Amino acid sequence: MAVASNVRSAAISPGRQVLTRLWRSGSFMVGFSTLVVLVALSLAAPALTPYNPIKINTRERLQPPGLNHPFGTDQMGRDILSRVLHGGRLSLPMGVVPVAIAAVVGMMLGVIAGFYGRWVDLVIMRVADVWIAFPPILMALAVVTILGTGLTNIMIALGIAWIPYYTRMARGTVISAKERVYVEAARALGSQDGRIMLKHIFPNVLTPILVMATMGVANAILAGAALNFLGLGAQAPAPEWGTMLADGRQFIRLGWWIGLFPGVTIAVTVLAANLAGDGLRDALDPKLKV
Amino acid sequence: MAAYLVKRLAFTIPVLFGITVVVFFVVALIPGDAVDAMMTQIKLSADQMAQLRRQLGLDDPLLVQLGRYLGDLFRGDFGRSVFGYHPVAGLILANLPATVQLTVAAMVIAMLLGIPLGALAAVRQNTGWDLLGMFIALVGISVPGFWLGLMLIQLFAVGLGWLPITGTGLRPLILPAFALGVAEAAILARLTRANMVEALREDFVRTARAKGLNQGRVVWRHAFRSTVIPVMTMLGMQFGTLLGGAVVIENVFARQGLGTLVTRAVINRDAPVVQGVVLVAAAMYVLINLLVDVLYGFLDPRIRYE
Amino acid sequence: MKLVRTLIVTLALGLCLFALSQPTSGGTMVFAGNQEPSSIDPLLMSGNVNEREVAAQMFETLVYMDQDQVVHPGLAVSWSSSDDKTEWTFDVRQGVSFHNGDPFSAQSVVAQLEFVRNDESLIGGAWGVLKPLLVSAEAVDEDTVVVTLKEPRPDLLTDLADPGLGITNIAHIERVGQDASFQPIGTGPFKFKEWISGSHITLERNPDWTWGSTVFDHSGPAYLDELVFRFIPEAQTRLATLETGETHFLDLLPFADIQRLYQDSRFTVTEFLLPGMPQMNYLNTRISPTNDLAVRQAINYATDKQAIIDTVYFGLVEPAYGPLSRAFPEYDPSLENMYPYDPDMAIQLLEEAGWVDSNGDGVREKDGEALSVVIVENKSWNDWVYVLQALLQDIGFDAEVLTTQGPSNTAAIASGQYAVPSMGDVFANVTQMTRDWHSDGYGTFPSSHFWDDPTLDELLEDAQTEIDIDVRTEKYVNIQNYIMENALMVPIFELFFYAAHANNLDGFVVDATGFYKYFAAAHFN
Repeated sequence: MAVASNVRSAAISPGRQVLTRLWRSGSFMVGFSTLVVLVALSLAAPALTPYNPIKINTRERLQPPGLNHPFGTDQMGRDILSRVLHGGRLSLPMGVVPVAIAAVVGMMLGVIAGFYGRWVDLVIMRVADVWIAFPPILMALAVVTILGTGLTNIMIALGIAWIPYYTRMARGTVISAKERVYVEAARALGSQDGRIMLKHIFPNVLTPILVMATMGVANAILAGAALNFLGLGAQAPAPEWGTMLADGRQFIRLGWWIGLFPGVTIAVTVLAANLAGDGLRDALDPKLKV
Repeated sequence: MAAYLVKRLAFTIPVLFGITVVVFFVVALIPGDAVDAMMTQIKLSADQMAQLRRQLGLDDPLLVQLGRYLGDLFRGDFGRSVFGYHPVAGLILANLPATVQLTVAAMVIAMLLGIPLGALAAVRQNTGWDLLGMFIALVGISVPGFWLGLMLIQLFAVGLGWLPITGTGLRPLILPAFALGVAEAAILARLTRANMVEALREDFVRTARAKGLNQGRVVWRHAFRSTVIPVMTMLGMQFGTLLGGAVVIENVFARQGLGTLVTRAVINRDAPVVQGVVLVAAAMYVLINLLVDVLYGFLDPRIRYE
Repeated sequence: MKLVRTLIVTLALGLCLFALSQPTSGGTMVFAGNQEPSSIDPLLMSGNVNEREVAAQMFETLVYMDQDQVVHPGLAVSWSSSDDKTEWTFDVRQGVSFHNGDPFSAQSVVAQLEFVRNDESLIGGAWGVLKPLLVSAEAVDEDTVVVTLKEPRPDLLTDLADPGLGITNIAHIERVGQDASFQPIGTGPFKFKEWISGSHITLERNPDWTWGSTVFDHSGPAYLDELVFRFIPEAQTRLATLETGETHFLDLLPFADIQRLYQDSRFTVTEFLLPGMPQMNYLNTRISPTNDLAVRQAINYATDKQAIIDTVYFGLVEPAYGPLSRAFPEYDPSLENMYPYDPDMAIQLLEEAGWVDSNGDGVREKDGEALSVVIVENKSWNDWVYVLQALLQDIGFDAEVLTTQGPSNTAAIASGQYAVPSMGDVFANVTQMTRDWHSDGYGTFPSSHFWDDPTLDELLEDAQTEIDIDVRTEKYVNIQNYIMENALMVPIFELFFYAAHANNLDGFVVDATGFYKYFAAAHFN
């Protein structure tokens, strides 16, 4: 029902309505622009920061926030603002890459299962049932044990763990879209499977997947921080928000700012991704519950 | 109903079997076997290593090992830890109750905080209350759990001295359950709000309200009821997330549980323990979701079992 | 009413005064360690600190050694050795019984040593040291054991005082089998009560224990009713439990918080210099570029120990200069002047050896090969590596840190593929230098300098059997110089072990290494 109304409106004015709704959605605009700013700051970090994020400077260690160092310095005398800005280059992909892996693979599997039905559906969905039973963090722990620690491996591990969630979502949407008149019509007219999938099914599937993925980014950043906390993530001294936050916990009493700023940055990023996801859902498909 | 139950249970068995096989092969992929893992703590000669491998059956083909593992599992034997010879089944049994306690407590806290917050926001839709409530919920899902845990320790245990960090019983459960439950509460609040807003829009509720029926009763009887099922589904689905979160929170609070057990096992590459814990966690997920499915029937007679 | 209250207060005051002079019995002490043991049976234990801490309360050793390196009788009341130090005779204590009531005798010691010698399955780290050395153990009579060794072992008593070498009840182990390690049975002041996996281990007072060693300065059963060991991996949480009063004794204090604890009047902080091999980095001589003496020396000159100590360890440790801790009488202070911090000297050495930055990328090269090294870090134990990395980068190294943990650390170090692995070792017996430096250790753990010259092996073998104390010292001084002249390592710092305990806790005794505490006479004031 929701999907159908969507398709209709898209037929009237393709995309424009959605854009207008997005523009009007306060939460989307706030979330989205925050994310854009964060990405821009991370990309421009080398130009913006006067300090090397890795270089140790023993004379300046443990400085509280002040004029020279707005976020203070850590136990090695490194400027935390510089580290936070540079950190985005490692931590933002941490949010995007696993979700991209999970969404792309998961969606393809889900579309195939939903479109072909019968034994293909049965096999894929039973595998998904097995897969989804593993808590993502445990799955990531197991994968990291095999591949070794490191950011890339964490991203792969989380990506693999989240595939079945997207598969289930995509399959559900495909099955309801498949019953639509235009798909049956296209079939009757002898269109090829690939064409039907591409032209009629994918656009329907994309909407919920996009909403799910935006919120997935928030989850991925948090899961990455947790895995870094357990000591499985980034290689020090590279600045990464989760690792910085985890390292900062040693200095809770001595220098609260060491952990606080990376922590706040994580929270703000996650908040922004959630806001953007909320807005996107409301604009694209208000009935969707992700 | 009984037929449905049998059917659902029958579906569960191949899934559990699949989980077991996947766990076995995932663990088999871990580089280095049990004897290599032992080498890190105890020095063995090449002869001793070879002898141990024979004893433990690590020389056999993988499929033979899988067959043996499945056979042992069937008899309730999960193998023994590489370090200290602890029976894995015993380790899991000792640690499982603590994890269940923590996750259940976190769920209770999530419901106690999340549902009223969501309901309040829905009833006072588009007011300051709504905005504030939903903002709190958003912040709740945006803070890393381990950081929240460490902060709670500093504030309530060290600073104010109200609650203990370790120990058994109810009081030491409060802080970790809160740290684990806050994100879940936020998710529930959002879900409750969305469903109640929808229900409040439905005609009969609007009519009842227009007729001047007691506001609280209307909300309770109609709107609230219709949110119970989505909330339950969500709790079932979120169980895996909670279990994952428990891994981190247990480590922060040094709580007994499967999380601390598996973290140590992963770091030590103690394969039999990793295998056992992952298997049990996955099986629990499957069974909980089965339970949720069955409970639907009692809560919503409209659902038919085919 | 008022009178009653006054009376009570007076009475209480009196009791307090009495308590000050006389330790009171009772109470439960909670010890917080960082990692749950995998076993607390001396025959299965590995090298984990917490395992020995627990075992040391349940099992007694033949002898004890205090902080001044004085040997005290334990389960052995007296001992003597042949002139060549290969045959040792021990008279064991009479009237001792195991926790399950089995009597302890010379035969118990023989059974233990024979078990260690013969059992092909696993032998824990501590007893494993003696395994290759044992020829035979015989009970001459009820109270006398004669132990024969393959080669002279002048420091056998130091070995035997290791809290990991407790005497177990072999008869019980043979009766029960593999699972005996879960109901450990010793002769010590505390007996096993329960082990709640993932939570804690509880020991309870052994009321029969009246035969305690003189090292405890206490006769009669332990004061404490119960001793609980809790394992809390997260350092901040561990510290928090001390501050909330949930635990009374805390090991492995985080360096960042030590100053604050010193100032906190509720707690007492203790510090011990740990004997053994200081915290250091091996320099792998098998691979390039550390196969070049000039490179190894340059790394030594470039290492600013004070900067490391100030930045990472808050000035709470001291610089190290060689392979032996200054806690040993064999320590050679002349090494302190061998490699002062001198980056210019380091650069000069590199330039002279042909390592120059010809392409201007900040990294030196020689014959087209970059000056690249990998520093191996064992997570959370070697925090200095990042400063070392920066120091090396400053003089034109391409230095990378490889973080490892548990088995991946052992594997990385044993592989011999990395130039600068981090290490440290705690031992009370100087002869254990062999473990860290002999070529037998190549490809296993820890020996990873891969020095291809039999001279070092010969020196070590010769020194470890030397009986004459002065000659022995000379030989170990020689070894230390050999290692440092060839720059097989970079010494970083002497490890100090910081612990904190509640002020009202008293009477515990620290072993010779400073690592372990005995709680037989511990009590609350």
